Amino acid sequence: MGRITLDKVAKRFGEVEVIPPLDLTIEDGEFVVFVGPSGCGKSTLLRLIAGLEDVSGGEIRIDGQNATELPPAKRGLAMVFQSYALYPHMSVRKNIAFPLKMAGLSEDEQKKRIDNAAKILNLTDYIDRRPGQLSGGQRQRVAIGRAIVREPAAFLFDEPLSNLDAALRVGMRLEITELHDRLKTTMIYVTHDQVEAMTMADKIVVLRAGHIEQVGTPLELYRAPRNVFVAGFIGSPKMNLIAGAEAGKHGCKTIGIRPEHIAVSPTEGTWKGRVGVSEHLGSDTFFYVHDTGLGEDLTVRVAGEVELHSGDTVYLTPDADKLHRFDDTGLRLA
Amino acid sequence: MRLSRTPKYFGVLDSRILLVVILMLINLPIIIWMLYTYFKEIPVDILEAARMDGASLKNEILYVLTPMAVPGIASTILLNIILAWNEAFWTIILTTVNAAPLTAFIASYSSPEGLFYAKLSAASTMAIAPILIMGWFSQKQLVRGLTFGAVK
Repeated sequence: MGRITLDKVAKRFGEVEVIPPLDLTIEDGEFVVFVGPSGCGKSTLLRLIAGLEDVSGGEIRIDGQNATELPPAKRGLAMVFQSYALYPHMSVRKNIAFPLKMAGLSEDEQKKRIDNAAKILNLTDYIDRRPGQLSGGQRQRVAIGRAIVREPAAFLFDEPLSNLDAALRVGMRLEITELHDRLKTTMIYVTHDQVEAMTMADKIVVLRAGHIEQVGTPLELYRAPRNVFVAGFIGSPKMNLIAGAEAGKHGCKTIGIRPEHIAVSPTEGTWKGRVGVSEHLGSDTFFYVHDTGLGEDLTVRVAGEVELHSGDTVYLTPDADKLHRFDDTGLRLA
Repeated sequence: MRLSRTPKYFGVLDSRILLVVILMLINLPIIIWMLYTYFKEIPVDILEAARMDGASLKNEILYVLTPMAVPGIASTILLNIILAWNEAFWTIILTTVNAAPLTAFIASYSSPEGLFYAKLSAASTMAIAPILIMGWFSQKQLVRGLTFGAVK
C-alpha cells in the first residue's frame, strides 16, 4: 500500500515561504510526476514527503497514518537521488544490502532480495564492482536496486535521469515505467523535463513557486491546460501564446495554439509570416515564423520533411477546434 | 625557565605524558581543521541516502562517514606524525633525560663544549630517515588527502 496525503503542507525557510499550504492526494500504485521550472519547490516537496526536511505546517499521511513527525527511515519510503548517492566504498552488492542490513534482516533474506533486484535490473554481471567502475546508467540502476529491496510503500525519484546522456535517458525512462508496471508500487517522480512527465506519469502535478497550478493526466494537461502557465509549460515545442487584437477577436485576453495545430500553406491562410529558422528532425519539421503581425513569433510543427527556406513567405491557419482561450487572470475560458 | 614552571608545579616536567599532551595540543587545531574539511567534502546526498536507508547516527558514522573519510584521516595522521616528530621548541624546553625525543638528542650536540658538526649531521640525517621512508610510501595518499576536494 502507498497512499500519500498532503494536508495543508507548507514549508518556510526563515521568512521565505517556498511552499504555501498545499493539499494533494497520491493514490496507491499511482505514478505521479511533479513538474515545474527550476526553483518551483518540486524537490522540496519531495523531500518533505521523504522526511528529509521538516514541514512548517500541515500534515503528511502515509496509508492513513500521520507521518509528519516520523524520521525518514520509518516512513517506509525509498528514494533515488539525482546524484545516485551510492556508497563509493561499497560494492554494488553491499550498496543494495545496506538498507536490509540496517533493517536487521537475516543473511538469507538479504541474499534472496538482492538476487531478485539484481535480476530485475540486470545488475548480476557487475554485482561485485564498486560504483566508480560503473557507467552512469548502471549506477542509476544500482540506486534503484537499493530502493527496490526495501519493498517500500512508495518510491521517490528526485530527477534521477538528469545526469544521463540523452540516449540513456530514454532507455532508463522506459525501464522505470516498466518497473512501475511490474511492481505496481506508488512512485513520485520529480523532473523539470516535461517529456519525462508526459511519457511516464499517470498523473502530473504542475508546480510554480510552490503552488499547484494543475493536477491531471498528461493528456488532460495537454488538451485543457487550466491556465497560461500550464499551457506554456506542457507540450514541446511550447504552445504559441498570442495576446492583443487577435485574442480580442476571440473574446479573450490571450489565445494559445500548439505548433502542431497550425496548418501551413504557401498561398493562403489566416496569418501571414516570414520563415526564420527551420529545424528538420526527419519525422517533423519546426519553423519559427516572424513578422506575423501578431506581436509574437510563431512556432509551427509540420509532420514529415517540408522544404521551406529562411525568408520564404508562408500562410498559417490555426485549427479552430484546438484554440485555447485565456482570460485576464490567465485562466482558461470554456 | 618560565615555560617549565607549570609542568614542574604539577610534577610532570620531563615526562612522556606531558610531551604527549603538549604535542597533541599543538597539533589539535590542524587536526580539527583538516578532518573538518574532509568530512565536509562528503556529499550530503549520500548521508541523506543513508538516513533513508534506515541508518542511525551511529551507523551513519560507522558505515558511511568514516570509510569515506579514510584518505583524509590517513593524511591527517601522517601529517601530524611528521609535525610531532619534527617539533623541537617544546620538546627541548620541557624534556631533559627521561622523555627526551630525537630533537633533544640532536640539540645536545650543540653544547657549551662546542658544536659537533659531524655528529649533529649524522644524527639529523638519521632523524630524517623514518619520515622520508614513510613519506615516500604514502606520498600518493598524502597528496590526495591534501588536495582532496580542490578540484572536481
